[in-house]
Amino acid sequence: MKKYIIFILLCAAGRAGAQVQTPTVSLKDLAVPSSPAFVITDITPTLVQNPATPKAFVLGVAQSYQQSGTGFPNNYSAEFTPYWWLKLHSRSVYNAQGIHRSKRDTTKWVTDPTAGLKYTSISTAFVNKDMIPDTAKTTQKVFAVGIHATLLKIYAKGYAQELGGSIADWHRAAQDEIDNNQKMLDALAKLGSDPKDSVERKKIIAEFSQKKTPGILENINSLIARKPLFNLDIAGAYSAYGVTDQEARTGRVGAWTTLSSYIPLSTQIDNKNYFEISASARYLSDHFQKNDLDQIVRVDNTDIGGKAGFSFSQLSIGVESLYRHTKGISGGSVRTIGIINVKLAENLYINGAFGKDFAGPNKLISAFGINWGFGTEKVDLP
Amino acid sequence: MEKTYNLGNSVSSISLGADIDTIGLAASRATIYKDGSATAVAHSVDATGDIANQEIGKSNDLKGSRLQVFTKIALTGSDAGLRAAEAEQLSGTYMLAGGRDGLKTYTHSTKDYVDPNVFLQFLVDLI
Repeated sequence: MKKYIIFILLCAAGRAGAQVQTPTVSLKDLAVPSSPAFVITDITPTLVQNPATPKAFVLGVAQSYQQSGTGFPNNYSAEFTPYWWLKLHSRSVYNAQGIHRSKRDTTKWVTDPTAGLKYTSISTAFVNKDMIPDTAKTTQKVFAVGIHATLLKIYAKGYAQELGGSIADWHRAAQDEIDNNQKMLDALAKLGSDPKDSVERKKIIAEFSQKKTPGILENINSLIARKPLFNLDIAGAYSAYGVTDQEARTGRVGAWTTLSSYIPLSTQIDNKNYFEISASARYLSDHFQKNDLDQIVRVDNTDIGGKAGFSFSQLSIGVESLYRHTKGISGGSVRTIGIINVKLAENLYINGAFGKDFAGPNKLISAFGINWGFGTEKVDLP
Repeated sequence: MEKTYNLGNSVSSISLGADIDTIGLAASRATIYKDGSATAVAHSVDATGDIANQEIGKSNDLKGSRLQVFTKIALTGSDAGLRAAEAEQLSGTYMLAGGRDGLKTYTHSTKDYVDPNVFLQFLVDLI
């Protein structure tokens, strides 16, 4: 979904079958969530803390605990990447982008397919919410924790060499620029580093003349934004409900995985057109779900889906299929639909879907919508 | 008043190292200022911006000079918020050795953020 969409102008749905039934799961739900703790508790927190240190995280939880007065942090959500908490002094653009020089030939650059692992993120949520589908409207103290990681990211042949070469070009150009700005460096050295001179220092630095580095940086940003040939993401989440003041029970447990492949349709450095194919799987165990007999039991859901399609800057078109197996409620079923997204103007998008729904052998689904928003995003497959 | 490094009175070799902690693209240059002239004495060799530990001169030649390590960092990515967060987090650590003060580590560089660039400057008077 486009990041900045703020208003849905129109959303109309028609159906060629005899019965209307909105599917409770879509392929997007199967995709690996970036914040699994929020997804497993069905919350969309408006304020997510991003603590920069372990101390900030502990203080945030403690503050929420004190404010709630219930002995449980109330509506506290946080997401953090422990890598950023570590002062490793080994951070560099090379390890951030997952490239390094080949040990066999130091003139060659190679990628590290597991480099994304260091950005593994953790999400946590403390909420008071009614998660048990019984007749009582009481809320439970819900705690959830989740983890999200990119296990593998494999780029096309030559990517590392191109990125490593561009970074080397930038460094050479930056050294030349430092040479050419010697007068500015002299003025800075003369001024000193007293904080009271910071305004004067900023004036001097504003004179720093750049020639080649902005253009090279633009190329590097295009390379960094390039989608990988293969990408494997995983996520897991666990939630517990305080069913009484003394007893907590496992609520939901979930696991997600998505394997994606992006085949570029152009060799241009700023290419944004791809043939995309991906497969997703989700396992969700809910210990408090109603079965066909209206009893609250543990229900295990397994969903597997895939999609394939073309993604261009103004148009995306593809097909997605989803298989759902719900142990304890009903048998498996399949939903297959074609999807299209068209960018009409800078902030105006049309999307549509047509195909076979879960509901039965003759059930069709058709949907059409217009989204209006801000931003300059291209149209991606949903 | 700048921080100082005491060289002592020997003719020993003074070495400098710089560790630039950033995920951005970085380029560093070390310059000695003495008697109105500037002499480049070391620079980074790749976009880590680090300067490998190396000799920058003899203590008797450097006495009374000012050492500057200037680093230009370009932050990558299209997310301005993430660039600002990295600008906040990045830092420089500088090591001098060989003088009377022995191995001394400094972390007091100035930082100026002009998106997408950050400029670090480390100054120390060699006495």
